[in-house]
Amino acid sequence: MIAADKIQYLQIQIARYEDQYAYKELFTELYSYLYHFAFSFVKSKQSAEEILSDVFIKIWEKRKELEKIENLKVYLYVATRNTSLNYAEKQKRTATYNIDEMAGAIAEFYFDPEQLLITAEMANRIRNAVNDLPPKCRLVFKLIREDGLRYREVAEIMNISEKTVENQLAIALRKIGKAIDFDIKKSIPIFLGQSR
Amino acid sequence: MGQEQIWDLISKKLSGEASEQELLELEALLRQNPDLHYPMQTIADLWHSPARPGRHEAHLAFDKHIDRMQQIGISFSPEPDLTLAKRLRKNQQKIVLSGIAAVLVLTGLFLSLKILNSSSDPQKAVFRNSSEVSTKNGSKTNLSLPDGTQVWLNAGSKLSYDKNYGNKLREVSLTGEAFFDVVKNAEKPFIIHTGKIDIRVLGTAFNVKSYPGEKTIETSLIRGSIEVTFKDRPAEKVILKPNEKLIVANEEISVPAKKQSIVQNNEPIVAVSHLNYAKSDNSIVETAWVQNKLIFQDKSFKDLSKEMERWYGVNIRFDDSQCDTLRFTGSFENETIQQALDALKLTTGKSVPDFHYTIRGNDIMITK
Repeated sequence: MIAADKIQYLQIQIARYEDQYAYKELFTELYSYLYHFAFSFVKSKQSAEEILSDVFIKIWEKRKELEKIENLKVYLYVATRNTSLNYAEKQKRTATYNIDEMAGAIAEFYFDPEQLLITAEMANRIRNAVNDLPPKCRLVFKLIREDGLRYREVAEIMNISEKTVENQLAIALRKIGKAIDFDIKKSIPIFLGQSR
Repeated sequence: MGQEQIWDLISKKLSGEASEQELLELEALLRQNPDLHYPMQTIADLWHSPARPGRHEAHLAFDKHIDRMQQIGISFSPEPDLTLAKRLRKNQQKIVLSGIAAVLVLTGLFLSLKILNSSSDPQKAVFRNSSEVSTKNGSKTNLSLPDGTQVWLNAGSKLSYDKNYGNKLREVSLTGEAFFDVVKNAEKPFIIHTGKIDIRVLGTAFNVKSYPGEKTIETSLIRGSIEVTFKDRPAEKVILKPNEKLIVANEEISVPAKKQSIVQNNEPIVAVSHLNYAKSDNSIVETAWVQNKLIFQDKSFKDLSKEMERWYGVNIRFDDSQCDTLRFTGSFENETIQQALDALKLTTGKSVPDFHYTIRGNDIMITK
């Protein structure tokens, strides 16, 4: 989860004091999120690293105007998206690229079944449900849950409507819910029989 | 129909987008569909379970990034010591000597951290088995511990930890004041030893003020939850909630010549109160120093002078005991010590100021 107030504080430190330490903080704070985002486009570790480096070089170069950016977090995602798309086009690997084609490139849904007190079987079912989601849906789910972005931020970053974000997230949760529901009905039918 | 809507509502609830109205609707729908309780709860747990850690990779990637930047001719020195010096300069804290001292200490830390990080190499690891960072009066610093925990160290403070940091526990010792933003790791609790208390944390942000010679030790919690235990009475503990602060009397100081009954009991005098917000901009008084602000509210000149000594790296003495009972409310940000003293003089609001001061080098004398 990205702490919005921290990003804002770092933004000011960099803009006003050219604070290199704050710059490093900004980089390390957002790196894993932006890296996975870039990776979902270019599907290459090295390319994703270079893209982020390019994005952050621009940030340092324009550090004095940084305060003019209203939402630095969204700005960085959008910059990462654009740089990734340019990169993909240059590589001509996927010239007619769009978000729907990114199957499998989004990072695994990460959670610890033991901490959640669920069976390994259910954990598998949940993972499969998430992996089977359409790429756009999965990305929406990841950006909101893991990166902690708002609906309107995801809409801006993915260039879709806020309503679409809302629908996609509901679809993701319904599929996960069905996976859990299926499992519980199978394992404790008596309990459910009583509650009906 | 209701079943479909429920997923939209639960999405909104988990992502913090739901309105009050929608939350009520969700509750009503869940009441009608009790068989959804379990999947809902599991989804909520899944949603809130921690995302993957990636801090270490990020630091490696940053080093690569800096190499790349330098290759294309952008000058950037990633060493925090230069940044600190720059920050001090920018803030016009003209205590050059102590600034340099802090830089030296910090450089020492940086080296030792590097050695610690490469502990896969056993030969190197034996060189140094503990790290210590300290700041002189008049300077502050910011550092990352090996697990990524952020520490802002206020003036005249010292933080140390040994090579076992992060093995089973994350233990540090603090003298002075620091703000901690602790990386969550339930398996390796973060423990701070300071004065007579130990503070145990799972993952949270809070401020500890524990200067030797001060009357109290203060622990202020911004978010999360922390547990404070007393070294002399290990059975007792206080759990703090966000926005609360714990004040513990520092006995070595509070034992006066005349013996009081409380002191004889050898009990720490403990109080829990709320954090203070500055009237001017609503910043939290207890942690404003992290943002280079010295905020004080209804503070006696005597207590304030101690803060100012650390903030500016000066010595302040009172020639007249009447002066040290004056009380002040306000804040300093970029002021020099002289501007700060002038401002205090003015706030007394009389045509004849309540005090005068003379500055000789680092020594300041307050007179009537």
